[in-house]
Amino acid sequence: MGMASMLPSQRALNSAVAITLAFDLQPPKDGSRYSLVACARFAHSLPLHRVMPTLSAICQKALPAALMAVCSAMPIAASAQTDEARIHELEQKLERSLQLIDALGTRVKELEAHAAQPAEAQASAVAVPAPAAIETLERRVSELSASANASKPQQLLHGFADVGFGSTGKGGHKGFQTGTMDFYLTPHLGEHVKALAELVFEFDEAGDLGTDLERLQIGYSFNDSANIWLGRFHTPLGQYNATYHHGQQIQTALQRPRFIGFEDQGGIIPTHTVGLWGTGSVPAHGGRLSYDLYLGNNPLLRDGQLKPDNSGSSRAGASFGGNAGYQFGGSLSGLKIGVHGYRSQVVDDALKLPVSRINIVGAYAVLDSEQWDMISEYYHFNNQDQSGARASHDSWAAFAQLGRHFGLFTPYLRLEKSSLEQGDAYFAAQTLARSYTREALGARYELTPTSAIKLEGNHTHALSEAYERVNYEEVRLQWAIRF
Amino acid sequence: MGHPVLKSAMRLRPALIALVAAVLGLSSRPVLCGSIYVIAHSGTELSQQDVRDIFLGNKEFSGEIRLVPVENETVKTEFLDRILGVNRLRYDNIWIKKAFRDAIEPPAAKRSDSDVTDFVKHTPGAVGYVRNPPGKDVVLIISY
Repeated sequence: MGMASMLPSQRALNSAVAITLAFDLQPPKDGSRYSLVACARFAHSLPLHRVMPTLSAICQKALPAALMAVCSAMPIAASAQTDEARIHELEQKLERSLQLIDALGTRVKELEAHAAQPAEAQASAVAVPAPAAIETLERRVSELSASANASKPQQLLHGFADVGFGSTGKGGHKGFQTGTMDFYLTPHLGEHVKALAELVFEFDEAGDLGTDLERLQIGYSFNDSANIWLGRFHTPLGQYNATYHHGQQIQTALQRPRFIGFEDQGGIIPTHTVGLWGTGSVPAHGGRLSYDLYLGNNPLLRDGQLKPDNSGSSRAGASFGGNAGYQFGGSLSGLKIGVHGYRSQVVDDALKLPVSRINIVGAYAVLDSEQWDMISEYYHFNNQDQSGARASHDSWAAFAQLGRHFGLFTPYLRLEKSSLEQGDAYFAAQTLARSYTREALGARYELTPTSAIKLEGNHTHALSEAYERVNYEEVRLQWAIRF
Repeated sequence: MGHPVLKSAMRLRPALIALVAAVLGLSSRPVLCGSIYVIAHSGTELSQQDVRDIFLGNKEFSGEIRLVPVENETVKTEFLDRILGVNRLRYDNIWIKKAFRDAIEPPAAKRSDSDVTDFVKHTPGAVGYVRNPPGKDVVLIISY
């Protein structure tokens, strides 16, 4: 109210501020009762047994100062009331307030009872047979218990983590293993702007901890059929790469197919792209037609591995690709089929020279139903060396995985095969890009909705880094969670 | 009719009926009852197919309006089973994949009809479902 500045002393200021707050809450209609209303407000905030002595002290010390302040601000009538009269009036106000609270409480109970009456009447009007009534009751109890966990605030930080044990033949790793710790954020910055940031901590083959900013993308949604993203994203080749990626808990199998491995783990497709990505879907014939179109920096080859070009250092044109899929509705709900393609020039990071122009085309099918979990992908490579005779090479890779849900238990089988022409400069430049076949048999158990235990055994027949034929077996156990 | 085998069959008839009933009962879906009303914020126009797409994360917009689906924990199991045809485990997996790939947040969860109705009433683009017939302060999209 601007009265504090008018007070003559700090003590008076302290007293008046408390009263001024009360003025702000409920300005009186009559200037002559300003100080009394202020005292009443103060008394309300204190327990009753403390009200009287405190009130007395306030009225003795603060009131004169407050009255001085009020007097300097506006005209008031001189008060002839004694302290006792004021206290009496305050007690009456307190009593009226308590009565009002009681009345409101009673009214609320009446309204609640009134609102409940139609539901009770409806329930009693329906004659429910005894077994059905018991079932209904059980369902209600279940729903009520579920509702106890409801209404939680939206979670902004999500993630995945996994740990386990592995034993790989032919001199491979044996022992307990720390997997991946994956954090991702999906903030929505208004109606149309959204973002996704994903940070991964993982140990490399040597056991050293590495950190990867897996994704950093900011997007704009025009509508369901038009969304654009800018930044670093999972290359939408096939379905497996963009859908599961580091989400170990959401992928049925324990491991990714070897040829779709991450760039730093021997994968032969660029699993990340830095650039612009358009995506969306439209309803079509009872299902949905989806698309992805993207443009980005060319991938790099460094130390025998593919690397996404995060800073545009490849300086040699752009990569681009697309993915078109159809998700069935009705009785085929859960089935999705699609085709995909990709073209880029792969650049040697040290020499800054193009190594190969790669062209990938392929197809995929996914079935995610109550009983079945199936995914299959095919990739055909037609690569052209960018040095020497500029020869063209054709290669292919594919996998098929089938799982069957039995309640919380899902056994699965996966077959993988790649036939890579080893004279292809693209594959020759990668340490682990060798032809192979792998058969994997595993099982997954849903310990909780957000926690799964997986056991997998596989046999691999492959060309080694030195192009020698090797066979080895592997057994892995994994406990994967999401949060 | 006096054949001993027939007599035995007649004696076992109640047990056979009970067995068949039990098998049928086990193989059928749980008995569910009551209507479910899908409601939306005033001015929102949606079709039956839209409802399914929204709660499976395939539809985010109605025109220029961003849709805000909201769960009703008291009816959720029945809603998933009858309208979406998925169980909770699969439903959660669908949404976590959507969140991870496309940065789409799963629907918020509310405790009761009144919480859902209140949220839908006050949130533009909100879509929810309730057990009891809704009032006129929200739009009834469809009842199941």
